[in-house]
Amino acid sequence: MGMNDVETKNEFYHVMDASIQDMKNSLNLLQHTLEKMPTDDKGISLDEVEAKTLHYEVTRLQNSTEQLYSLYLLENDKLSLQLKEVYILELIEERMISHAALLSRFNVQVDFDIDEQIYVYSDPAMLSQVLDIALVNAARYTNNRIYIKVSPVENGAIITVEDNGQGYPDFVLEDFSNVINEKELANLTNQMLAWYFCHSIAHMHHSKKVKGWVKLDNDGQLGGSRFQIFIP
Amino acid sequence: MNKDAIKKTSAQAFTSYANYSALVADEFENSRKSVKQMLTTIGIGQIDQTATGKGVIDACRAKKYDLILCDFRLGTGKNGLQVLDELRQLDLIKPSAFFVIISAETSRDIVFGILESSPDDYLGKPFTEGVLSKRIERLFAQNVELEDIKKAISNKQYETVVTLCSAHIQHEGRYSPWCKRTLIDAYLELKSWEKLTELCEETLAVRDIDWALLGLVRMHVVKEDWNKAIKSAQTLVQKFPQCIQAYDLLALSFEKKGMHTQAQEVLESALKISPLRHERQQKMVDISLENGDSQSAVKASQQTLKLVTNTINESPEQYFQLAEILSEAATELTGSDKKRMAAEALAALTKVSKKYTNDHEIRIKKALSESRIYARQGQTKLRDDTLASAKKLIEQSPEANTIDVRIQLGKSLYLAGREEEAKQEWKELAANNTLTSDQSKAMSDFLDEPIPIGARGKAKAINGSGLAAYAQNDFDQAIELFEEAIKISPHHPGLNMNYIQAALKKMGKKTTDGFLLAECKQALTRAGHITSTHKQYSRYIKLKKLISKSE
Repeated sequence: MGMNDVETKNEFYHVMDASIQDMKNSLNLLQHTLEKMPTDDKGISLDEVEAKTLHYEVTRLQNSTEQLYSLYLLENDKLSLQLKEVYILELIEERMISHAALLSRFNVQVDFDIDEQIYVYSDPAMLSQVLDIALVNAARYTNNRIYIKVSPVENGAIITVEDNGQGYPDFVLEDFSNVINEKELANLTNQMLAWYFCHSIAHMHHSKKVKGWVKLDNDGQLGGSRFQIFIP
Repeated sequence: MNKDAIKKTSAQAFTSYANYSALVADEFENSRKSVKQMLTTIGIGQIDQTATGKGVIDACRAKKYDLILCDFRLGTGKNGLQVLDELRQLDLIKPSAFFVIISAETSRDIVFGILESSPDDYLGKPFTEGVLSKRIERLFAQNVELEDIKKAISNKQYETVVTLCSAHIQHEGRYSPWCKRTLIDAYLELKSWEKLTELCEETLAVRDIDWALLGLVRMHVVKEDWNKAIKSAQTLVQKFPQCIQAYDLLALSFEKKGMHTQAQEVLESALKISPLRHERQQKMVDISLENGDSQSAVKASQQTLKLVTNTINESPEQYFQLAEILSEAATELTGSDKKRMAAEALAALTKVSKKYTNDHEIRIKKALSESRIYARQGQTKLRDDTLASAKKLIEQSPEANTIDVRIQLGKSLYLAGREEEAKQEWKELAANNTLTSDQSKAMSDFLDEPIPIGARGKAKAINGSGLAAYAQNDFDQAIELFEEAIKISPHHPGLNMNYIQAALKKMGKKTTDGFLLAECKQALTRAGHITSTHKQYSRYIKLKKLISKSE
């Protein structure tokens, strides 16, 4: 990153600010849910809403922690991107297994149709973080379905995660286009930082002057939001 | 969630792991239990566990595991990577076994360290049982597919490796990228340069990719085509700044071309990215010494020792090296800094003697090294006392008077002002023994420049300016600079001969200058210690003839 120290600090201050706020919100919700539970030894039972809250917020906390640390490394030019062939189906399967309980708690049906031979040159840990962000967000805002598709294209592959929810509000799409063009991180929500992180990771992939990208829109087949990442 | 989709598309499923054995290593009992529980659920027949690196080594000595799940952090002893290196060096893992590193770390140092040790897999924390199960399933599935190739590799049957990998690629097998990388290794072994070039270029025509670029760099290095190696490695570093092997090969190529400053710069970049390999730190020590950069040598030497401590790669020599470097570096400092560094040098010697208490050779080397440390500090009484006690120890244990000890003795005698005795000791040593090239070099390097690292660096830098002036035909300036360098490093053959050459140029063919000629003769005398094995010897003889002709 071609920034001097002062700028770097300022940039990261915004990242910290948004992430910590968001993590505190998650912790707050967790705390409230836990406080409502009986403290005697008759055993704990959760109602459906409580269970959803607990599970979703814990997952978000997990993603936020990873994301905060990765953004910190990125800002300080210390993020390592270890490229090797990543079979996308394997990666998606792992993400699905990791989030199986959450998805089933939210009654979300995930369909995917991925050729097991398709691979990209990427860092599996980083690409997993990106997919976690896309999946957990889709799980939260979908009506009940998520569809994942991988399309081999010239010079690489596009991974698409879409849902049948309301789609991204206009301001999200607008903010996203601002953040990737101007890279101004002040006053962003943690979720917007997450999209920025995805974009940055995609952008670190390159081959023969082609760079990776991330696209957000509402043009998917299921009618909800659509997340796409291109890895060259 | 569509679970059928997973089942349908997943890699070859295994029915039973009942006959497999696994080892779980983690410093925390809860983590060990949790992973063990997961493996039990997956159906692994035998599961052992341990909390330490030493525990892993011992367990692997006793039993050949199919799977080792090892956390990076293993308490105060060895870490997971050191364990893996050691298991490989001791040949304690069978070729079909899997070593999986588990880690919560994502910092670059550690990620690179892990990558460079190339475990079979890397599992970031936190992970679920499902993910672990999937990974294990895939590892074993991969083993079935690639078993013959892996066997051929471990038997060094590279023709077979080529045949099998090519067949897999031809059938568009799932592991084609792996096979292509393996093909490059095999081509390098077989010196099949055309095939290697074809494979890399064919791949690079489609996309930029580090391993294909690296394949070409490695080929140039093996062919010792240093110019091409430098050029291709620079391209690779520029396109893939995280390709760590590219830095190592670039530094090596610079070194082979005698471009030590550039080599050091490249190594510095490499160490910034991946500082956890002791080999790279040791390389940095060597290059820093070459460049006379004592600060860098101290740092790299300390890091080397830190990385090998309590591992199979630890040796007394690393302590002696550090002590010597610290003591030489101290001569560049003043006041309390100087004292502190000299004290650190002595402390390193105390440490090594405590580690190897019953080793006579080490006790002798320690005393000899102490004597040199005191010599450099100007403490003549302590210098002579420790030297005398070293000699007494040698008398007491003649079996410990090895070639290395005698080389060390020569150095200590020399620094104690007993230069002729030192030379005599080494003359006898060389006459009656077959020395390795490293041993001969140690002695001739010392006689060339029996001065501390920093002084060597200074002389080298001035010599560089002198050579530049010489190249510009400014012989007066060159002579002046070489003289200045000779004041710092009087016996350096290269320097003295550079002086002679510049002087001869100045005199030209016709006139002779009595004064300069006398100076040249003195220069010859100063470098008079060189023998026929010295790399500058033929140059020395040539110049000697020229001088006697000029008279």
